[in-house]
Amino acid sequence: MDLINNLSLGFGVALTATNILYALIGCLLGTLIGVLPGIGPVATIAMLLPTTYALPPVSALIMLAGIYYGAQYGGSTTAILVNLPGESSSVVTALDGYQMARQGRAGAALGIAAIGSFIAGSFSTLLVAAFAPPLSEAALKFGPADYFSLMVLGLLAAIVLAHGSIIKAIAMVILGIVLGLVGTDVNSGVARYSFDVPELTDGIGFVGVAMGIFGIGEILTNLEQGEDREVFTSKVGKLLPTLQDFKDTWGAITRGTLLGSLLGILPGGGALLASFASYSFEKKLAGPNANPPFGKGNIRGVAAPESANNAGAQTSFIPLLTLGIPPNAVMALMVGAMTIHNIQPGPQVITSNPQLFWGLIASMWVGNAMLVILNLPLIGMWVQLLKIPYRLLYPMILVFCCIGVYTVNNTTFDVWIIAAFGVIGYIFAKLECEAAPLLLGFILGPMMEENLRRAMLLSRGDAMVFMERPISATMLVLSAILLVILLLPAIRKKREETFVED
Amino acid sequence: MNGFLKNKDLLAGLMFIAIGTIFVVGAYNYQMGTAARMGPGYFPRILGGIMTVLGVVIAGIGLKNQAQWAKTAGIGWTWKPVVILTAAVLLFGFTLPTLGMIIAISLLTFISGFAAHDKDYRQLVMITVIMCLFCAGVFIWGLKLQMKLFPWSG
Repeated sequence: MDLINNLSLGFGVALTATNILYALIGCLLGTLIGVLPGIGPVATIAMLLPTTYALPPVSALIMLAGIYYGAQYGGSTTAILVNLPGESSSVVTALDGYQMARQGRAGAALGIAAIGSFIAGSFSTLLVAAFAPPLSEAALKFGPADYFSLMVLGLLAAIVLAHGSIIKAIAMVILGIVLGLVGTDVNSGVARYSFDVPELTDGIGFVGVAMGIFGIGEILTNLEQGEDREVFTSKVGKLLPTLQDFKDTWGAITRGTLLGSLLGILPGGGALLASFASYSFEKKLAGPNANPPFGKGNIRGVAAPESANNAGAQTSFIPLLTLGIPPNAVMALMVGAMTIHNIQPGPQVITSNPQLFWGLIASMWVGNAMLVILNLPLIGMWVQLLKIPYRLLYPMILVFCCIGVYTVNNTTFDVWIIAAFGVIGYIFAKLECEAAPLLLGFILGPMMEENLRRAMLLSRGDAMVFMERPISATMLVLSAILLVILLLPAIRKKREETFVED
Repeated sequence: MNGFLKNKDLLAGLMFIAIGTIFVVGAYNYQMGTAARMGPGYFPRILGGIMTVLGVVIAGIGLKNQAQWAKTAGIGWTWKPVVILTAAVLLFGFTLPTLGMIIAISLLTFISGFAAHDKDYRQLVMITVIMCLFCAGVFIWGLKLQMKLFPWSG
């Protein structure tokens, strides 16, 4: 069995003392920022990117991956105890989880969230291991036209996830792409839009953009809103759910895991989409006669989205590892991490760096096991952290952002970049232009241009090449369907309702 | 006039029109090339064009709904934290290479703390000291990053 050989190779890498340590650091950091509202995995991974220079690539990726799925665990703690989503993917967990906490069943909610996440994490780890190799083999047959169309689909799917106006989200994607084009053009050597600033000929640093918008920009938005938190520290209750709880939730966990895994693989998907979709699915399935009703402390409303977001977080590695295309902003940062270590993400990673590939996958399971063991006993500590007031928290975040971005190239120019993008991010937030699609466009922009040029060169300028190749045509047809669906008034209304709680 | 400044769609649309136009106009400095051999100006010109058109549509939607926007409370810009944080970050950029990490971090932490509406000076001093010690410990002694600590260190 190839799968078993590969996994044992992976566990050999993941279970070395160093890598266990980095998985642990990643999981702890992820849980920490997951618990704290106002700082998410995007900003954290961006901050930590520079510090991974010194690490071996496998350890670096293991740690950064741990932050992403660790944040899914941590986010649920805040959602349940404080009714505040620590992470955007925990928004729906708060609906029923907080009600359970008010009924004195916080422990059971936390317990089932952790157990559901673990089951989902284990399953999706296997899924990544089983599906990544055949997919990357298929991806080797992809031509430039196919890649271009796939990226179009991915960017459109990212728009599905954006809140509010669709047309604004499309404009933000394009803005991201053109910002990504700033700098020296690889084909002609012409420095584009650099305005004679020597630093700009290398392009705008991705870390600076991400940290400016998601670090500083978010601080500025948060500073406007006062905080009122009511922490349910007094009575967490028994952490182990009862046998009845298990009976009630095993179906929800299974469905959440499957749905989450599926939605994670889709371009534009990931933890956020997964948790929203599985909550509404579970609610619909239970019908109006659910006891207790959804939104009033139904444990299935905690189990399903928590399983789904963890599954989605992990399967979103599939497009990254097989196609080299990041499906969401966190994966875009993982591309950054890989390029720092001179690894070109794409279908060749699995053959050229099997140890990195399988080590990363195995570490996801190791990390999930650690999270379930660590988190439940540590919940008391995480709750204490929630008592740190934001007025002390944001200067710390700011310092880490500034030091982090400076160390990428040891240049102050990147500090100017985050200062600028902090203000820009604030303006975007105020004008209700969501920034996540911009970041994805920023990453994919140069790749899209490159593939477009190659495809058109090969076809001698005939744009029909995008419809003649079956893979490319499929992607474009899917994109067209997606666009039509997005613009249909009925769906549009539904979509706005889904995101209204955020 | 004031009513138009409450219109988020109109302002966002104008922003996209402005940026799109900059990219289209800028692209004329670079070779357009042909569809088969695209020059460096091809892709940005097309995208800048699309962005401008989208900007027009967004601004148009905004104008159509102007009556509703005029009734809203307004965008509510709060520039004070923006100015304080930006100044703190810029100061950090100037001081880090010249005066070293301790001074740069102290200034950044302390000044940025003024942006909170519930500031507490005693806690702010405390957190400044903690950040200096923590960063020196982690980044300089732990990760051995190449940064100078004090103005006099090499």
